Amino acid sequence: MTKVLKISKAGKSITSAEPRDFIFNSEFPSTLKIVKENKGTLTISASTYNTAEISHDLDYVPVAMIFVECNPGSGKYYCGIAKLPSGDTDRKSYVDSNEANTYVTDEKLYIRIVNTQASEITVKYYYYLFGETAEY
Amino acid sequence: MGYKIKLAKSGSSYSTTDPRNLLLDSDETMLKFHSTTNDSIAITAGNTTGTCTVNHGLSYIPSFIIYAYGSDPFVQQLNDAGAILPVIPDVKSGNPYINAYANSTSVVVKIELPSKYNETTYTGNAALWEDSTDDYSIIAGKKVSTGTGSAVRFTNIAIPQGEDIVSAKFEYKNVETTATDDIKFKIYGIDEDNTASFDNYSNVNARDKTTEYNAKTQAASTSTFNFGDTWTDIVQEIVDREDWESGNAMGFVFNDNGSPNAKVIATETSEFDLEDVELKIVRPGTLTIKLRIIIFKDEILV
Repeated sequence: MTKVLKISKAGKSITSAEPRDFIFNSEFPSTLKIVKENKGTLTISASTYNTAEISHDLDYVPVAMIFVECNPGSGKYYCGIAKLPSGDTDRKSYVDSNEANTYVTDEKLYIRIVNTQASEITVKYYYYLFGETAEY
Repeated sequence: MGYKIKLAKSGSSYSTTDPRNLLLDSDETMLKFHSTTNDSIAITAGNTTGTCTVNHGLSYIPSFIIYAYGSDPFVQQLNDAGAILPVIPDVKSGNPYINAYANSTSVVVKIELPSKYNETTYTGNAALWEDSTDDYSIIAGKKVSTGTGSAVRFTNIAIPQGEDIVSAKFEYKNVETTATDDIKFKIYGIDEDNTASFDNYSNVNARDKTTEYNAKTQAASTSTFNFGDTWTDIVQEIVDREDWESGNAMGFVFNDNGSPNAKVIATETSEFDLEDVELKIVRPGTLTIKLRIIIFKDEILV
């Protein structure tokens, strides 16, 4: 007999057929588990770019999320590919949206950040790697 | 002694080292839901940007994701541009920008369109000058006895009859003036439903003119510049004509208004291009981009 583990939300029935009613339900194919998360900094020379290379040992291409403080010291962490428009006050740097420059492989996460300033800057970033494959 | 919980997928061992084989592992956290908010960004005609702020009350910087959706072509462009964060495609040139950040109080979503919403740019279909030589074509002012005016025409103006437009702005690029004195002139619309092609300046200048006009004083400029003016009321008068139809042509006439002799605003004939004559019209409307903002309790440790 197959055993099932379900945790329903308060006020919802354990027999509900609605996935949104559950905190956890082993009948669903998977959960988005965070297997790696960390912060980092990237120092970038004036008016050029640098790439953070984050190694992982997952041996598959994981689903990833990144957050970047494009304007150092602002406390604003942009989600995903923050390719800010030229007039944006936070565009001290931006994430290179070209898939050849910011991407994830079965060995590393690459985040290329472009410095728009005429002086060196150090940009903070944060990332999550999940226990699910991004390949299709 | 600590306890661990692992729940393996069917057919997988709980001792697996591949996290993809586990449904639950107490060594691996999962993003914990904090809030979900349905909101929207409204960008009114003539504007390019909009923001949406959702306060989270967490007092630290949380992780989050957003989705933008809707049927408007601009929203479809957003999707093409990777609006569904945090997906990672390239942002296409000419598509809207969408960005979102979290700080210690809120999540802010920002959208910037590549051009003003509901603005259409029309380039000149024809330009006429009363006085044009190999060197200069006189737009306005008074060369001597002639050279006192000009006209421009735009075609395929897509505005329904009687619609209240938001704005109409004209620009004549790369023009010059003579030195020292102000140049004074008036700009009228041609008061016709669908003004015909231009033949010569005298005939065009003889066509009925709109009641609305702009009286302009252009200071002398020693360098090339772009002459710009707001023609909202003039264009509105033409659009309000009973038999105006979307797709018709409209024209405008420059007449001298007491400039000193030999004081003109002109374009260099050999350099002139109809692309240098623009009419930007903003029609009414609001672009609404629906947003779903999902905030997690998980902190971005900075």
